[in-house]
Amino acid sequence: MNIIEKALQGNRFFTKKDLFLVEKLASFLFSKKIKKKELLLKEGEVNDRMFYVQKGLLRVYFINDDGKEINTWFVKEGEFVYACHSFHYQIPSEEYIEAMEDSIIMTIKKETWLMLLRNNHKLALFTVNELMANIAEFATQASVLRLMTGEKKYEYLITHKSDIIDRISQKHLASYLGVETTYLSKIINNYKNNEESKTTKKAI
Amino acid sequence: MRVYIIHEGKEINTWFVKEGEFINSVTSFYYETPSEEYIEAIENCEVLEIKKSTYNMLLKNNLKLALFVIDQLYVNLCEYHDQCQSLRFLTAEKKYEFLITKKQDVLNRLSQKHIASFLGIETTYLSKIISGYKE
Repeated sequence: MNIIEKALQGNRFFTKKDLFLVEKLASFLFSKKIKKKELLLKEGEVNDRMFYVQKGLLRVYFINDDGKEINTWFVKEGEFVYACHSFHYQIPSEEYIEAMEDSIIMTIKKETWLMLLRNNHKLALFTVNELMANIAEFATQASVLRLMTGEKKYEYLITHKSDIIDRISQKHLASYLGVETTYLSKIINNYKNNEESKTTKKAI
Repeated sequence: MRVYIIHEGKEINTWFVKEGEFINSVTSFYYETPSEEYIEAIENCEVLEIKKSTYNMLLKNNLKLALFVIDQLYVNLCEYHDQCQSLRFLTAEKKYEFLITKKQDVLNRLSQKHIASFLGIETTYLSKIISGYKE
């Protein structure tokens, strides 16, 4: 989804009348093609720009004390992404942002974006809404991580993230859910067997 | 104040909020769906409240307020981000250490019971960790 369609989506903050304005705002963004496995941000760098995924899929991860990559966020087309702390407080990032597929990314520098925000009320309202959506996403993520068994976590992913689950390897899903990869693959097999037995029962 | 949900008959804390901070039940407030959460005062509190419709109206008419809100939302986002990160740690010790580093200011005002459910571990286990940590 290109950024202009995204801004006009739902007619909530920008409407068709604002097309000219939206196009003007969009002209401040730069488009960038990146290959699978390429990094947009490394640990230690200050995240001084925001990214919008026009096409593709990214992941945000950090490396824990045991040297293991832990995924914290999967971001697909039509969504914004940045390393929260580094971007907001302008401190070195603890996280990496990596392309999981060949992707097209729009980028904007934080200072340019802040300048636009200060001068455009509609953009500010649009941003408030995007941030609320991000927060709701993280809040849900936190309850899923806190409550449930590995099985329940996987079920949650199937129900709520079915749009990206097939695009992500089991290894990446496992660290996102905070379970071991071997354990996740057991869960997935059990789940599939259950689904199959349900369908066979229906067939009988 | 604390935000909690009830899961399998057990209260699970999801957020602690102290003076100078904003609070809502995020998903319910944003999507206007019935809340799965409770918000409860842990100490005697003085709370200011505003209706979502009033708040939206003010937001629409005041750019500076919108900029202020954006800043606050980033703070909340970082907070949740930390929470998710700590929950993915596999051991309870690590989770507790993380809390000490990030939440020093409220930690002393919370009972072990509340901290335990925030970390997703048993209270007895937490008290073992804490005594181990102090030594």
